[in-house]
Amino acid sequence: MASTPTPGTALAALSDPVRRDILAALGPDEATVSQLVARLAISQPQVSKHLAVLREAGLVRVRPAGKWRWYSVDGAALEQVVRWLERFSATVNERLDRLDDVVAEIEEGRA
Amino acid sequence: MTTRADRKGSAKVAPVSETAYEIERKFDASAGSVFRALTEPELIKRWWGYEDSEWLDCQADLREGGYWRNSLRGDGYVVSFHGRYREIQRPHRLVHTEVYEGAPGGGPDVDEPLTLITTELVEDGGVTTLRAHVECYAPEVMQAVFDSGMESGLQVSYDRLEEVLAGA
Repeated sequence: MASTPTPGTALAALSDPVRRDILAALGPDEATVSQLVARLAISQPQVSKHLAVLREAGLVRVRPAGKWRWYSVDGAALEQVVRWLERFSATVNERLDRLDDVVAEIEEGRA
Repeated sequence: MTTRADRKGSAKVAPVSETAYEIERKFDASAGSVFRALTEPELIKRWWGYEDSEWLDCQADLREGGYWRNSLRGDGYVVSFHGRYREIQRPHRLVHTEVYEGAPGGGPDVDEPLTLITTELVEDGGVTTLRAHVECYAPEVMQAVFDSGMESGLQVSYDRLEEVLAGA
């Protein structure tokens, strides 16, 4: 742990739909593994495995308290990654919308 | 019936690993038309660049091992990419490398690709789905690629994160 995760690691962590569900289930609050298991209806080993990936990616933090371990989203880290993805996606979309216009002209026999 | 206008902004971009991402977009056209737009310089020039840029070079030697190059000048910058075609199966599959000439030590003759792009075009009932798999040679390259998209300056508020993740 403790090494600074690369944005690529964070992006890869977000590529899995179950991990996105876990982040959404955590929301702005803290939760234990058993609470997440109950909310998401997936097995405890699955939740633990995905939480470990999210922690290594720097997207989730853990706070030990007595016998419990409380997990929460690192909002700043997540926001940064989602912002990258959104901005990049906007750039890709601008370009592909122009491609669409060119393709339409080809279909109409005008290009 | 989906109209073309409905497809604006519909491309999905998703990371699939630490070094790869995929793009998917549908077109109301044949695979042949999309393939032409992807590979003919006079057509490439109309969509590949940025709104305000001036083309300096656009080449596409569409053969296996053939060289391609896109170079353009915008407001105070020059952006140039080139690469080689690895595999061509008109009109369904295209594999090519991409080199960014602005990278340290980069230039039109430097042949150290940053990414390998596999584009597949699947036509079904008059609709062609373009799926591009972009494999970066290192996680740092992936970061640089995503950073390059920062220019469009879109704001995402914390409130929208859940929504964005649900639809990502």
